[in-house]
Amino acid sequence: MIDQPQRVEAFKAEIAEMSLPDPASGRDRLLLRAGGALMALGVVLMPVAYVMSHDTLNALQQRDAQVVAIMGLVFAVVGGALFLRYSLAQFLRFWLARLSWEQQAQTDRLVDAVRADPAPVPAARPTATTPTKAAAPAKGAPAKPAGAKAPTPPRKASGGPKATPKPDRPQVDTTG
Amino acid sequence: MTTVPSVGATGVGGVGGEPGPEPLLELRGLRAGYDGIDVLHGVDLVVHPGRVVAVLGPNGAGKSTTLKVLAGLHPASAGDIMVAGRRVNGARPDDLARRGLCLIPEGRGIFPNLTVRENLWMMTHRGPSMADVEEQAAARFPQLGRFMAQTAGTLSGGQQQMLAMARGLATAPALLVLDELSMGLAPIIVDQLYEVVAQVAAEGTSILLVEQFARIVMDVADDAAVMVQGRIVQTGRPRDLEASLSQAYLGG
Repeated sequence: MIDQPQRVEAFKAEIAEMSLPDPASGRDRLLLRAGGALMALGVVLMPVAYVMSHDTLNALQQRDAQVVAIMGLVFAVVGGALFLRYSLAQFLRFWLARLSWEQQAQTDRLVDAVRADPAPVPAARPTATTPTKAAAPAKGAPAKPAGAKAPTPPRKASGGPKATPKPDRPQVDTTG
Repeated sequence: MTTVPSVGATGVGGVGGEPGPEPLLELRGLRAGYDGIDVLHGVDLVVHPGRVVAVLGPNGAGKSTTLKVLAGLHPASAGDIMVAGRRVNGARPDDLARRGLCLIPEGRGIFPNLTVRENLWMMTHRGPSMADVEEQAAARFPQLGRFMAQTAGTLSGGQQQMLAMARGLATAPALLVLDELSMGLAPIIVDQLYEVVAQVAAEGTSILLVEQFARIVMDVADDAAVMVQGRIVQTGRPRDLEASLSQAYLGG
């Protein structure tokens, strides 16, 4: 037998997490299709107007043809704008989602790398052999992100202790 | 025209002003129709966890439409469908079913060309093993256990309804919605089916059931609502509604 109070709680949680279709997406699709149809109608109307005008010497009919041609132009422009607006909206929504996902993934990679090796970066550690100001970290400065290139210590002619990166340090690709 | 008293928006569930927990299902001013003609004219109904609520009314009152709308099978033109505190208008029926809102429709909705076992197997998609589903079905409906290899379409009406119920219960629903369980069945079979409904209710499952034959559900339901011409016209304890029911059915 199922534990009903627990089942009800699970049901509430699942309903709360359920994704519902956005009613606005139906309107977007409708306007996208309307834009496409208007654009196509405009493109058809313009050659029709040309034929109308070409087949007659009557100035009144030619003016009618001009009106039809202008209407076709307006339809094509308005339809094109609608089509572009709503197809771009879909693309931009996708692009935004992808951008935010990539940023999140990159942040996760950095956090993982820092957690894997919480020790300070060797190049930033003040040592007797590398007393240069550039290499010394400012007090309270945040730890460098993993994978960042450490400043190269000054080369010495004789073999002294070298500040080399730890061999076990995970190599992290931060280029995304 | 009926002269039964109207009800407020509180609907059924916490009858008699009882403060209850958050409703599992709440319909607020629900409107729906077919081909632009409204069938539901603002239905208000509440089902609290662990309660059995019966919607009673004559043929054509809009009972089945209400169930179809709340299960996501038919769009609502206005109003709110609140499930577990969330507005779910426009939710897909399979999404709701997967989460535990189980509708057993009028006419059973089984696969007639599949065997009983195959019909039950369909319910394993939510996680329970086939052995568990079969065991549970046979425990609740011993008759079904003998016909596992038989094609569902060749079963009697009562056995088909048992199969439909066994399938529904295999999903461990949080809210079981039954539409005209007694339709076209012999009284003895109907009694057997309602015994199982009472058993499921005693286990704590919330049930919303729709019945045309009101007397059948009097002993099972905790609360009842009388529906006439697309409106809930009265709510209360089932026994208290008998007079209203006569008015609703006979128009007196």
